[in-house]
Amino acid sequence: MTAAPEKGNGGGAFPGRRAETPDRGLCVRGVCKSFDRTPVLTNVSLQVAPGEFVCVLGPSGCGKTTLLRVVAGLETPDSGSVLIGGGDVTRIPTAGRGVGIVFQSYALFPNLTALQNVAFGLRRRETGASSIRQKALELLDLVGLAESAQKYPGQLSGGQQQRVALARALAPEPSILLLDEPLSALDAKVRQSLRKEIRRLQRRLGITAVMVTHDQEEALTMSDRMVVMHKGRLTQFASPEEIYRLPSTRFVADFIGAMNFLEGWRAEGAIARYGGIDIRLPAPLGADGSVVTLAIRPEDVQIGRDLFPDENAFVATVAEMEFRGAGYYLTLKALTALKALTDGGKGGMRLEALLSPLRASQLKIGAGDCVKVRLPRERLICFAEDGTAVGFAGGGPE
Amino acid sequence: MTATPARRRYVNDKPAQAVLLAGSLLFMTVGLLLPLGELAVKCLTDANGAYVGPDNFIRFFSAASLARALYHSLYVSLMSTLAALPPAFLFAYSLTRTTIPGKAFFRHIAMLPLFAPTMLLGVSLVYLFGRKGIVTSGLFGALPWLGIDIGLYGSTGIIIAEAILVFPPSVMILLTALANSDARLYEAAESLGANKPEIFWSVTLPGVKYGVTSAAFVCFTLVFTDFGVPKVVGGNYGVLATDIYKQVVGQQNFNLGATISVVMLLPTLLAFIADNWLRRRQEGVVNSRSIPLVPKRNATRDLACFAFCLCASSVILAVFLTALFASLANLWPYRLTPTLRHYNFRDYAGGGYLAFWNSVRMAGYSALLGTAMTFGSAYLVEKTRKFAWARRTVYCLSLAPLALPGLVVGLAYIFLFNSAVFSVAGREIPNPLSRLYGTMLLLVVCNVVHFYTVGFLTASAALRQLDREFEAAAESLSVPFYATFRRVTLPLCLPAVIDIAGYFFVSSMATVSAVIFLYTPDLQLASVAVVNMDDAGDSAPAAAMSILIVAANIMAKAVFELASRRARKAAERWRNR
Amino acid sequence: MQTGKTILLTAAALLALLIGSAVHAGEAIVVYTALEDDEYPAYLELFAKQHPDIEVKIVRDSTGIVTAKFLAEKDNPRADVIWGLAATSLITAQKGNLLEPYAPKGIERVDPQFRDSGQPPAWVGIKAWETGFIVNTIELEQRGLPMPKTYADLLKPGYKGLIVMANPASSGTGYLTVSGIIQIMGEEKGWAYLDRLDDNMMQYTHSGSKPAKMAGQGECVIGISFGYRGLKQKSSGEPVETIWPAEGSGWDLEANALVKKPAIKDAARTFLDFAISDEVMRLYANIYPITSVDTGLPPPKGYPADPKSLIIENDLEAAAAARDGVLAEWSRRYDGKSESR
Repeated sequence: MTAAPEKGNGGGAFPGRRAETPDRGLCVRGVCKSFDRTPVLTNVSLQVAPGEFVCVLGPSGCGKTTLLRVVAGLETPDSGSVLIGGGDVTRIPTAGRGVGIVFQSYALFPNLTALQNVAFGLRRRETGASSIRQKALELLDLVGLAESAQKYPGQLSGGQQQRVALARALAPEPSILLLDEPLSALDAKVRQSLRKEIRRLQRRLGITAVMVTHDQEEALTMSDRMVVMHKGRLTQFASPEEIYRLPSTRFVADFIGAMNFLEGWRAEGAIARYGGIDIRLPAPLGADGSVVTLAIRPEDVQIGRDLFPDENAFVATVAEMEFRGAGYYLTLKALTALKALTDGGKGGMRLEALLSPLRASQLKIGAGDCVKVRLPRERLICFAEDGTAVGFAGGGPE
Repeated sequence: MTATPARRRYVNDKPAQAVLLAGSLLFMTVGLLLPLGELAVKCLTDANGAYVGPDNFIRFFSAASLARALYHSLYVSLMSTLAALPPAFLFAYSLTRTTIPGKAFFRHIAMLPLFAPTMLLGVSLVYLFGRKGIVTSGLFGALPWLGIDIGLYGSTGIIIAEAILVFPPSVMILLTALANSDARLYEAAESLGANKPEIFWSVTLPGVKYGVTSAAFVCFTLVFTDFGVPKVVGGNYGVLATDIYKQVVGQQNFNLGATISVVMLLPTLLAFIADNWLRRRQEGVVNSRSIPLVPKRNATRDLACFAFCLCASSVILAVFLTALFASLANLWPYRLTPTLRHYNFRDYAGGGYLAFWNSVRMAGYSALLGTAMTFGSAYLVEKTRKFAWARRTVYCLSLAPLALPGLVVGLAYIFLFNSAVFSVAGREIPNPLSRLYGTMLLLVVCNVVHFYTVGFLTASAALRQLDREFEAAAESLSVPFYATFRRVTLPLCLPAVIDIAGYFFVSSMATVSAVIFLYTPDLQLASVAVVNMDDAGDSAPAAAMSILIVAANIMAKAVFELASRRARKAAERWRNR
Repeated sequence: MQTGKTILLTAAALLALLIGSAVHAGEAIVVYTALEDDEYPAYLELFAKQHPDIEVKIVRDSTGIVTAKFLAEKDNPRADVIWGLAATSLITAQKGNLLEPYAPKGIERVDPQFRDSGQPPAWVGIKAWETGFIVNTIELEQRGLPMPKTYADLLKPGYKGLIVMANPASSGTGYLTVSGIIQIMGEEKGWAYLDRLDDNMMQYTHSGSKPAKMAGQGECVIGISFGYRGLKQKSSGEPVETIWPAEGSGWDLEANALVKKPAIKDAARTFLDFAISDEVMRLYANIYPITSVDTGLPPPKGYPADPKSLIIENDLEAAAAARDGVLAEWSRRYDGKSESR
């Protein structure tokens, strides 16, 4: 099983494609759902390949948990359909879908031992108590908790409980594993190790998995592909690298990682102009004269003492300098933008840059210093006024 | 290992849940809505079933004695509430905010009146303050200086007895209110230099004001609808409850009885709505970040509070011991040699031990059916996802009985279940429900509906404490809901289930108001026997029967308490390493 | 969990039992009676001995209540037999066509003035009971009050707040007393007397026996009740004397009747035959001085040799006809009249 997406297609490419029915995996087609006439999911479509690990990421209230519950059958969509393993399960209750669910709260039955919890879903499937026990023990062993089989959940740590929950969900051999913020109740160290554990198990079993999370780091590190949702809509569906590098909308760019947004630039071919600064872009933006926003990640901003020979370089002062462990965050003010600032424009051009400690000591930079700043052309992203990426970035949303 | 095909063999929960919800709705329809509907019909028609509009109400308000009964009811309810609240507050305050010893003892004593039929309080007061009462006669002439005649029969007696009667529920409500305090507020007040009285007025009282109003509403409603006390010590002081009884039992005037019961229902409903409205505003006063207040030692205050608790407990104990003493005295007040002859109920009204065991059976069945119905319904409401409208309806119907006085429920039942035919638009339709009349089942259903809300709310609270995802997790494992209910939900809620059963048992054993219209010669009941014996003037056997009821309730409560404690211990085992 | 399973099973079994017990059957008759709680069990024991196959379900309450209940159920009567209910009530019921005339075996032995004149009679009397003052001698002495001998005595200011009597609306004893007073004194003077008596009254009770029992406990000093109660209480040791007012006691007849309903059970007729048989009459006569069949027994201890001298001339028909009017007037005057002390 390979973790890479099948094609290098950008987010939002699936709806445009002809809907094929895969043999296995998960397919969500045009799902809409409202609660009390408030739309929670609007026309969400998604295709997860067999054995793929997909994270659904979004701010709270974006509908990601509802999407998971629709897939699980715990909510019925107002329209649209859900296919699991090629079969339409939209009208089939949870019990018949063959999904394993791991909940944020673990939802372990406190009056049953770890073993009984894992065996809970095995009653009907298997015959003979000993084979159930055998299988449950195997699963506990798989998550490394064989010696805690007779303990009650209340006697286990949070991480251990979540492992039991994982084993319980996997016990009836579901075709899809659904994880609803499974790690958010755990502390950072445990979370790290469980991330790896979950991926290891998922790869080993080759099971299709969908995980809901609000933790971008989790999504970026765990997913084969990830979904970013916003206001009930699927905004981008792509590999973590692509989502980070080429966010399809301004929202995605802002939501994932840190991003500088430089507002109010006027496009002229492959050049964006603002307050006397010309920035060259990797490709033309389309309509000349349209207002665009440039975006660049702080770690992509280059800082130097000397004049760069290249384009897209300008002089700025270091307004603030903040130590953040892994590096320094500099708040930069472009000198040439001072005029625009006094004009009461959009606040001038303010930039944040991430500087490694090594580089910072090489450059001997301090607050108030004047530095040369360069925005590498290939690292720039550009958004139209409606927030969609334009020109060279990945395709916009539907 | 590869993924299995998506479809899995499973049991569809939906039909079974639909049937259960329908059962719950049917129960509430037959047990609550239809009887109330009949009650509404009865108060708008005359004895022959002809529609008379508001005539019955006009008759009520123009009959001087009936209108006066309304005034009497309001008066004694108000006075009893005013009489009961300050001591109840002080009592609850002592148990939560001081370091006095014997808190558990005081708490148990304070709950004692809940175990008795309300008539017991009346009977005891007669023995204490009647013409030849212990106090009135100055301990039978031994302490003549004590001898004061408070003029028991009438409003005085009712108010004293009702104040004792409503003491336990108000203490309970105030205990909860006082326990939910935030220590940070007190620390803030102290750091601002506030003195003790200032803190009391500016922090303590505002923090419990909703508890106080809630207790006041509960007191008012309980007194307003109580039948037992005014029946025994009211003398000629007629109140609405005794008037309903007089109209229905004495004069078989069902329509006027229905009318009075509707008049009685209105203030009760108002109090209920006002209380709910206030309670909703209270939410958020104490949150999860609050730090519980740990009382500090304060010798003067604690001594005073201890003395007070001792006094209050003594009063309650005195009432019960008086009843016990009177039931054992050969010939009150002339020969006080002990005898058990009043416990031989053969020559008295009411059915004696047969009635007592009927009551025990009824209480047992009510505990079973009541627990099954309330817990089952609460489970369907809280833990299933389908049929939202049906679940909402069940929830609303489950809250309604709290606002219904027992007399109204009983009366409504007799209207619905005791008529052989319904006349609808001039046509007569045989009433299939009339077959239930005179059966144990009907008595049990009546009790279950009468005490439904408390059981339902207890069950709901217990169920809400369980993880919301248990059901979803089990469903995803293709385990049918009933299996999850049996293996997980029920064992986890066992302490609450036992508490609910205990509540139904004790309440059904002691109740008189709801069943007094429904008992039949085959099915006499202990609490009704108390009323009938007292009616016939046989107060010693009436006291004896009351004591038997209290004894049965204390024993039952002890058993339930023990079972509940064991269940809690089991839960502890799951939690601790 | 095993516990959960056991609880569920037990609960289910018990519920099934409960629902099962809801459906009951069996040949039985329902008898409505106003006889005293401490007298009828002895009669029933005798009946059970003679007719072990018939189950008797007794509904016992005060006269007024049994009457009201019986009248209210006219469309769907639950009673098969009325036993020992005030004749004045039965006359009303007869007017309402609720009774099935029946001549029980041995009817010829019953004094004609103690039964309905119809052939067959609608109701048959068994015994009379009469107004009596039950006076607590200890309390009387303590207060230094004289023993009341007449109705007029009761108006003395010394007795103020010490007298209890039954409410005639609910109690047969209450009604025969009020009816007697009105018959002795006449309509106008009768009500005037009752007005003044009301001033001395401590309480009106629901049942006719309660005044006597209150007197026995000293809760009141004079209970206006009936003779049997006072004598019975005295024999059980209570410090009471029974006084029959010199003006004459009002009285009523306790009588039996067959209830008119679609299916009249033979057992009901059997019971009515039994209720005037010699054996049970002797039991009646042991405790009541005037029975409808002459048993030849002397009057019970405490009664004078000629008990009929105690009672007034009483036209039961007239008393029955006047009942509604008297009760309405009484309610108007005294009902709900109360002291909010």
